[in-house]
Order: sequence, then structure tokens, then C-alpha cells
Amino acid sequence: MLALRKYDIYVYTVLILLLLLLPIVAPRWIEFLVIIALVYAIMVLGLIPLSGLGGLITFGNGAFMALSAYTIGLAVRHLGLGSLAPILIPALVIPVITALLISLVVLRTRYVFFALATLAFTMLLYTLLLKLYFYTGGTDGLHIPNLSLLKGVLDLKVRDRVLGDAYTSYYLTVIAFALVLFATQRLVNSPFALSLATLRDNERRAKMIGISPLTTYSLAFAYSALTAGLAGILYALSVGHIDPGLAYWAGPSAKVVFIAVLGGFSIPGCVLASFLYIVVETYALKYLSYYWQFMMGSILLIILLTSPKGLLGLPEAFIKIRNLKTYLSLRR
Amino acid sequence: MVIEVKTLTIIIVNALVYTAILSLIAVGLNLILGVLRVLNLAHGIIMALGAYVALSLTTLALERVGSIGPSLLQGALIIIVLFLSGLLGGLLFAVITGYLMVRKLVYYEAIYVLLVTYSIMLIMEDVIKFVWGPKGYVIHGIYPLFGTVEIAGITYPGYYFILLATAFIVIASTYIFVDYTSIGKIVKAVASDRETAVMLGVRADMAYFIAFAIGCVLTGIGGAFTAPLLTLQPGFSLEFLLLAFIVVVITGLGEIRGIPIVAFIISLLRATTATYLPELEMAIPFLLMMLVLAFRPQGLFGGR
Repeated sequence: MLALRKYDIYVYTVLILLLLLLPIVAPRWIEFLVIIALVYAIMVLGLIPLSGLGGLITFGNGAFMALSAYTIGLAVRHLGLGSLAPILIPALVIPVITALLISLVVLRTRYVFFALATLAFTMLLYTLLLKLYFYTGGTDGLHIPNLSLLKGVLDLKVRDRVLGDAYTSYYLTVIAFALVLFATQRLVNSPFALSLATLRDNERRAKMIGISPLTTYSLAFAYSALTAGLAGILYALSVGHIDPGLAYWAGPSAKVVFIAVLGGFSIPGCVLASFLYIVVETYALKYLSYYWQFMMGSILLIILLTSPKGLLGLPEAFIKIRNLKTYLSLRR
Repeated sequence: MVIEVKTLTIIIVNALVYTAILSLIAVGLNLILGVLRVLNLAHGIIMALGAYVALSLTTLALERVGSIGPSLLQGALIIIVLFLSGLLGGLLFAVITGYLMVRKLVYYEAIYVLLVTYSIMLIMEDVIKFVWGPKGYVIHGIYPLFGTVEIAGITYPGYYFILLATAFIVIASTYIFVDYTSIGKIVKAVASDRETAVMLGVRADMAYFIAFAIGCVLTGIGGAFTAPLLTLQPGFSLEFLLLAFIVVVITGLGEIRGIPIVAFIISLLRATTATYLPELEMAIPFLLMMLVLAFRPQGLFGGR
């Protein structure tokens, strides 16, 4: 993949253009799968700085997705909101503020403890969403109506069919994905990424050269919350229904970690992995309904045990195995 | 608010029963964590295995011996069957994943261990679903064998006290095993300094496997003895897994001594909030865990 590095931006631009043009040729059901894949891709890309560079795995990313989705849902239900634009900023700011506040607590821990602390946070939110059913609708969740972008000014609704027979929200998702993709690309090539990597490798040394662990990690955490919030908004708009399952630790939170591992925490790998994951999950659910977890678990286990770089590292792993075989046969 | 004696007894008995279950699972989890340094996300599966094996074996036993002997004899038989099925379920998991745990995961980074055990959890959950089917089961016919006990005007099933006694005996014997037998001392030695222990001629793999198997068996027994209290359905063990995690984190990773106390605190808090503030019942343990992680990351009983 190294040879591609120089042309990354062009490849991404072509990818975005293809995604924008997709609804013209593809049938309607594909468009929905692409939305879900992109929602996951956005969340996974947001994890790259924190988990890939910083080495902190979070099992609580779903909490921020749920926070923003419920911000919209509650605004619609209790404030009678009819258009998307006014709620967009709060729905993005609330997860970020929460992440910054929570990071004061969870960033006192590292490694496994961090994973467990974030897990505790997302489960805390889950139980609250579940139990405060008077406000949040409990297990039934909330319905997200077909909001218009900005009532009176731009009366386009998010689940209206526009250009090429796709939802408006499809184009919103592609645009958000493009933003996150380029932002993450910029981020992993910045000094910020270097300080994160230094922190992962040796926190004491990083402190010595003047990198603040709390500030750096909490910014990376906030970035993951921001993207998860974005994903939550897009999910809520496209699916039209949200439930506390979004914040459950074995829900989206674990899925994004799964995808990030499959993608080996690299940008092209993660994008590829989220598309692959959604396709495999959809077909596994269709043909194996009860046993799709078995397949997912086996794939993850094989990847983890053979190729630490994820899907894109698989060819390398195969070569290594073949070399090992030749080596063994020569010895015999 | 006047707190009635009745309510108080209900809270305490419920908390005690929950403590028994939680401590069995959490001691198993923490033993594996302390010796192997492996945080086992698939731990709930061991509990489920124990419970499902107990389901099959007790159903079989109740069918076969349904008509013979007094209920006391049958009760003793059922206790033995439950115990054996816990043993079987735990050992089953230990044998299936033992190689991976002892030879591979011990040397992995903690984060990778989390992910590998997570994938084991996904796989094994569907294996259980494949063997026992996705529907819910209830084990009938165990409660009547043990009669009832009356405390402060409330009637409780006698089985509760069997569960308490079993948990007490099993956990106490684990403590005795770790502290007073030579194998237990070897396990402790490997846990505290692997290289020195290996140089002195200890087989580290063996010590790891023994600790892992004991942890699995404890959890399996926990699952088997919990089975009559629950509806067995896929994923039922997740709730217990999370609570066991909370207990382990609050106690301190690898510290098996304080677990029953912490488990009792958690259970008592849960039972109290379930009575007076049911909205917060599930949230309280997670809140407590976050606070402990933030202000005493080594846990309440953790040394360093």
C-alpha cells in the first residue's frame, strides 16, 4: 500500500465522486447498505487517532452516537422540532462536551482499564436511556420523523427521493463521510498524530518532551466523540428510529472496534473493512440468521491471530506463511 | 420513610443470593486475570456452559429418579449433579480454549487479549445456540425438592440457602487451595514472578493451565447453581459478566480476597435501589465502577 500513499487524496476524491454518482445506476436497497456502511466508516475513522495512533481502545463509542441521536429524538418529541438545521450544532456539541468532561475521569486510566471505564460509561448511558422511559421511550426507542432541512427556507426533507432516486440523507452521509475522511487524513499526517504515537510508545518520555497526555488524549477522544455524534445524526435521519441499543457495549461500540481491527487502523483499510463488514453481516444475517456471530467471530479470530495489520495485511501474512512452508520443506 | 423489617429482610436475602452468584463468577474471572494476566471477555460463556450442561443433566436426572426415594435423597443427588455439570461445563471451556490462552494470549498485549476473547465469546455463544437452540428454558422441579424457609414472615425457597452454602464452601476451598497447597503456592509463584519460577523448575504452562481451569470450574459451578433461578436463553450471561467485571475492577485486578465483600456491597446497593428507586437499579454499579476507576484505579483491595 505504500506506493499508493502519495495518491491517497486523489483515490479518496474518486471514491467520493463514485459514491455520489452511485444512486444513478444502483438499485435502491444498495443505497441503504451504503448509508449504514458509511455511518460505521465515519465512526471507525474517528477512532483512528485515539485507538490506532494513541493505542487506547474504547468500548464506549456508541455512547456518543446515542447521545447525538437522542438529542435529535428528544428535541423532536419534546420541543416539537420540525427542521434539521437548528439541532445540528447541539447534536454535535453535546457529545464533544460530554467526551471532554468524561475524559477527566476515564483518562485517569490506561489500556484495559480505559476500555472498561468507557464500557462503564456507555452502559451507564444505556441503562439511563432504558429506564427513564418517560422521556426516552425506553426499549421502544424514539421515532425520528421525516425532518426538513430548514423549514420555510429549504423545504427538502431528509427522506425525500432526490437526484438519482436516493434519499437526501444519502447525500448528507456521503458529504459527512468525505469531510471525516479528509479530516482524518489530515490528522494522521499532523504533529498531533506524532504526539499520540509517542504517548502510545512511552508515556513517560512523551511527558518529558512536553506532551501533555491528558490534553492530547482528550482531544483525540473528543474527535472520536465528534465523529460518533455525526454518525449518530446520520443514522437517526436515515433509519428513522433510534433505541437504547445504540449505547449497548456489544452494539455499535464493539462493532466499530471490530471493524477498526479488521482495517488494521489504517484509513483505506478501515473504509474497506466497514463496507466489507456491512456486506458480510447482511448476507450472514440472511443466510445464517441464528449463527452469523459465529462467522463474524471466526473471521475476527483468524485476522487477529494471523495478521496484526488487518485485512490489508493479509497478503503479507499469506506470503509469510508460504515462506515459512518453503523454509520448513527445505529443512526437511 | 419507615423501613419495614420485612422489606429489609427481602433486600438482604436477595443481596446474599446475588452475592453468592457474583462472587463465584468474579473469583474465577479474577483468578485468571491475576495469574494469566488475561482479561477474559468470554467469561460469561463459561457460566452459560455450566448452566446449559446443568439444564441437560438435571432434566435427565429428574426424569430417571423422579419416583424413587425421599426428597432429601433426591435433593442430595441434584446438588451432586449440579456440581458435576458445573465442573463439566468449566472444564469443557478450559480444554477448548486452554491452548490459546496458555500458549498465546498470555504473551499478547492486553488490548489484543480483549479482542481475541471477544471473538471467542461471539463464536462460543453461537455454538451454545447451535447445541441447545435459541429458545428460552426454565428448569422445573428443583425448588420443590428443598422445601421452604421462613424468615420474618416471608417464605423463601430452601434452594437459596443451598446456593449460599455451595458458594461459601467452593470459594473457601479455593482460598485454602491457593494459600495452603503446594500446587496453589506454585501458581502464586508463577503469578508473581514467572521467570524466577521457571528457573526454579516450575512448568509455567502447567501452572497457567491449572489456574485457568480452576477459574473456569468456579464460574461453571456458579452457572450451574444459578441455572434453576433463571430463564436460560442466549446471552443471559452478559449481565452477570458485566457485573463480575464491575466487582473485579472495584476489588482490584487479580485480587481474589476482597471479592465476596465487594460483591455483597454491589448486590446490596442493587437490591436497595431496586426497591426504592428502580430507575437507577442498573446504573448504580456502573457509576460506582467509574468512580473507583477514576479515584482508586488499583481497586479497593488492590495493593499497589
